[in-house]
Amino acid sequence: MPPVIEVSGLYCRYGMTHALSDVSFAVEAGDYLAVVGPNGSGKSTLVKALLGLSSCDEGEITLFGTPLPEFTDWRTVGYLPQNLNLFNPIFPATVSEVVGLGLLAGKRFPKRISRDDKSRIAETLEQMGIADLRHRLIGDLSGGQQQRVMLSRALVNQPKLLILDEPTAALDPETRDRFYALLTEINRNRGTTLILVTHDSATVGNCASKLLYLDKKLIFIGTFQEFCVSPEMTGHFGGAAQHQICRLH
Amino acid sequence: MGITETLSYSFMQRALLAGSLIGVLCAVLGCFLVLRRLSLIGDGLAHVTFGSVALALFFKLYSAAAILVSLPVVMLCSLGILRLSERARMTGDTAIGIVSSLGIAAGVLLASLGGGFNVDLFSYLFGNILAISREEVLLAITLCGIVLVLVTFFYNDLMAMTFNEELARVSGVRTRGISAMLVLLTALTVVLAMKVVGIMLISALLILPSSAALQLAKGFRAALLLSAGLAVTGVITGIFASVGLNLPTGATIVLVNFGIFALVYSGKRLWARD
Repeated sequence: MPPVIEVSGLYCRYGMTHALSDVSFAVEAGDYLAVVGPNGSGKSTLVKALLGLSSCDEGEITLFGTPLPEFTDWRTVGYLPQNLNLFNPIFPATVSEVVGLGLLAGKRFPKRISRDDKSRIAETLEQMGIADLRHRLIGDLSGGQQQRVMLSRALVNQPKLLILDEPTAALDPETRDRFYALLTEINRNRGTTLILVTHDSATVGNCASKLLYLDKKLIFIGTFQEFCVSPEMTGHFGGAAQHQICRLH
Repeated sequence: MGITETLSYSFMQRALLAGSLIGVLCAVLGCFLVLRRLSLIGDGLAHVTFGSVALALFFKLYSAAAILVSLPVVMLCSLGILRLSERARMTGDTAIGIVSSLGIAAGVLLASLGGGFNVDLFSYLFGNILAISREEVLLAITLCGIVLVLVTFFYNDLMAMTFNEELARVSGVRTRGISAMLVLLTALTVVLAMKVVGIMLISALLILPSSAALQLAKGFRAALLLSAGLAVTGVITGIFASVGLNLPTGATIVLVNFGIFALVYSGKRLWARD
């Protein structure tokens, strides 16, 4: 079985600035990969490249064994972008309509929400604990509730791969912890492969099966335990900072 | 003059039919444009329409022929706005500003060079739906049919892209093509709407009914239907009011639409306070 994602020799630039240099790694089915790194380290550039939202100068990306330019089965990929200006707050869609977009986007008339689709939407909202919000307008919800709706939209197609770009940036610590617990459950119970981009290397150490540390190039990839003893990370952070992150767990 | 008598005139029948159809188009497309923060594209394209009508009049082409000259010019400029905002590292409003000022400048230049047709140009600037010809009505029906079929066919893609473009792309929506279709349909609608309210007031038909509907609707499909209903109400009431009170029709239609928006907005605020 081919890896879910395979990246080799990826180079991306914005004008004269290198965003990513020679990044290579693979993500296997069932992995929970946390992509961490400082601001401007190329995390979001990597996500956009993986999803085909921006093109890079060199390198190859394959999704489920298919080169990215030829990949068409986007129903197998769920995506949750950063929670900043995700949609126009006056957008008059109900929670059910937004989640239904995950099933309908890219499908033409006469495709409408079927009875099966409705039950799938209801089931997803139930699993996310927001079934009671289904008739509410998305713009009327709190940040945490909106994030759950957007996660439901990403999950309603039962994707094999879920990519989340700093999904907790606008959440309070309590909601953030509940959100991480939800992701762990999705990864363990459904076997969904997760890629989570975050600043929060200390918190995700508890849940992710692998950590990828990026600073315009790949500094480290491995388990959290390996991260704590990695000489590359000691060289990059200094021993004290590395020790402090690892001692939090 | 009673309503029955007014309706017996063929010019009124033509005005009500064409006005309602064009109102529906503006209202439906307006919802997508307002939510995508592209409300002023209607204004920009209207300015380009001014230039293109001046071009048609320069070559002594009037009525439906002027519309047929305007259509390709305005559609081309709508794609120009899209391309500038995508490729030239500038925001949508800047691109609209550039193309819009080009349209006005070209119009003024052509009007000056052509001489003599300033009076005709004025009728396009302020519209006169009561003078709409049979050919223009047929053209409006055909183009309205095309726009509504395309919006229905691509409804899911349009809604997904309006909600969030990145998410839509990852869901397999060809957002570049859908964006191009949306601006082309807007261009087409703007050219048709110049006869209803005039070039100066077209953006009001795109913005007012949709903004009123977005205050009230509890769902996206409901917003589109409500917006269309409010636009038709505004256009029909405006035409009757203008005939009854002997007022300019285009401006009356816009003022009625504004009245509907003001009622909806203040009604919602009062309701929320209670």
